[in-house]
Amino acid sequence: MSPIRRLRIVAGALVCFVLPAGSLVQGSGMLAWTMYSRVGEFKVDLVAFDAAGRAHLRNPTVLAERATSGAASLLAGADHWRQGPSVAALRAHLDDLAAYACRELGAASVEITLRERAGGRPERATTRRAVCSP
Amino acid sequence: MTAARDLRALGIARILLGALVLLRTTPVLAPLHVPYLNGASPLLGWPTSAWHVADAGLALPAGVVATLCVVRTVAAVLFTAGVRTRASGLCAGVAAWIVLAQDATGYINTYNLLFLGLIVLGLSGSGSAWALRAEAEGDPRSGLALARAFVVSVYAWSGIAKLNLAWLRGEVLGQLHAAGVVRGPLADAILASSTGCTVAAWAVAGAELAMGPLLFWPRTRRAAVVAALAFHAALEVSVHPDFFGFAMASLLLAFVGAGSGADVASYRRARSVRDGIRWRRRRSTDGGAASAEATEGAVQLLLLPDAETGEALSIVVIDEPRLIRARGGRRRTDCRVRARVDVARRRRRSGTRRGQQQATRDVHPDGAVGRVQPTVEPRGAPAAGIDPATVHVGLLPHTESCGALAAAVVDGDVRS
Repeated sequence: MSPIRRLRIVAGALVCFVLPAGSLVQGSGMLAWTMYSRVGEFKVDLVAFDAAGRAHLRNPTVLAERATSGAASLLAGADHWRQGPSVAALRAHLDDLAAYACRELGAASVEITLRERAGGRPERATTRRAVCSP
Repeated sequence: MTAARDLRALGIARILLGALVLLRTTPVLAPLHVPYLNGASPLLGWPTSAWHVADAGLALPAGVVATLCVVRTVAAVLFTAGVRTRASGLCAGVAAWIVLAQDATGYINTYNLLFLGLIVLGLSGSGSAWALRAEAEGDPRSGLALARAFVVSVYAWSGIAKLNLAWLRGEVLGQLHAAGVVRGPLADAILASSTGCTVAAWAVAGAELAMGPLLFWPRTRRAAVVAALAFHAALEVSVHPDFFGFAMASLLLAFVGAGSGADVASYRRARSVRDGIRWRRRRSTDGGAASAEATEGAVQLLLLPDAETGEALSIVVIDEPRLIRARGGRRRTDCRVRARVDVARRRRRSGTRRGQQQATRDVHPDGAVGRVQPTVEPRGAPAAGIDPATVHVGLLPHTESCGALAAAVVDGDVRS
């Protein structure tokens, strides 16, 4: 078997099977061509705590202002249930979002909860809390 | 249809996909004020101070990301033009993925398709046609198979993803329609009722799952390509999925050439013999081979026996190797022009002569049969074991991509 044929077999296996199947196994399905196959709803609860420990409910849209367009499209209006594409990326980086919220809100700590629901399945909530450095 | 035609189709696909990548990742279309192209200035993925998170821990300094954006663009230009296509396609695709990974929330399927398409087409031999600096392609069949497999896999995975109750009940389409994601007169007409949603959902899932087999099966290939294009046109009208439909339309060109690729193995063997006339005689009754060779000039002739039928298999390669293959009753050429092929039969096993049975046919790849007269006499030294007086090589002008076409006449047996 020639080297180029070997290379093509490897490349084919990678792009046709490994990447899509891997992303499905990983849970996001981002590389599995799942476009429009499901519709889910999500919302983001953003709670900022001041130094005295008092909770302040904030609108996650405030985080969209200084985010990239991809992140902004997820955060804008996310204080209520909204439809949208896969939020797997957001879920995977909720810690980073909490740290970002710390900087943006000037809080002592921040708690972010991503709620998801789709197709009659039970609601899924993922919560991350970050203690903000002074 | 021929391998050369397949490669030309891949060459066109390369140009179209490369152009789409450039349009999608540079501000060329900025004057049109297309909403989803806002991020393409100065280049898609250009580092900013906006909050973002890198995927898979691939966070890179801004300077590196900016450099990768430039590298991606330059490589995409070279890929589109057909300069070092394999390297440029791979480079553009990898650079694009690294840049894309800098913003985990910015992923969309269109990017996935465009950037993987760069890599796939780059590796598929698309740089051997319609290219400023064409790359020699030694194994067109595997290249074509790679491009086709990629297209089919997209349909297959997409169809598989839709095998869920929410989709098949039409609920997803109904919600997408209600949310305005799916819109337009066509969508309004079809998705107005829950029945329409269900029917459309099954039709879409069925179409995507069936597309692969229909594209692979030669008899339905053309119809499947047309159906796929119509499918993407309908999606563009109703869903406006970025550049996705255009990219798929480009990649579907991999099915337009529809060559058999049957000559690939012989073509690769012939490519390994580069300098001069090489008369190679091989005899095989059980898969083994013995050969005698002589080299001179710029024409190569390989005579290979068919282990099954005992018939001679002739391969002629001229300078930039172009191939004619004659095998039993199946004769093909990698050029669209007619090829003259001659078969000298020999008796199997014993190798002794049993008279000679020579067939000379001119075969058009589309099946038409005619005659072609050799225009140039053979040059070079004869091969050991083959009487030079019995071998004639004719050079025929090529009509499209082949450069030259040769016909070999073995006026006698291939002796053991």
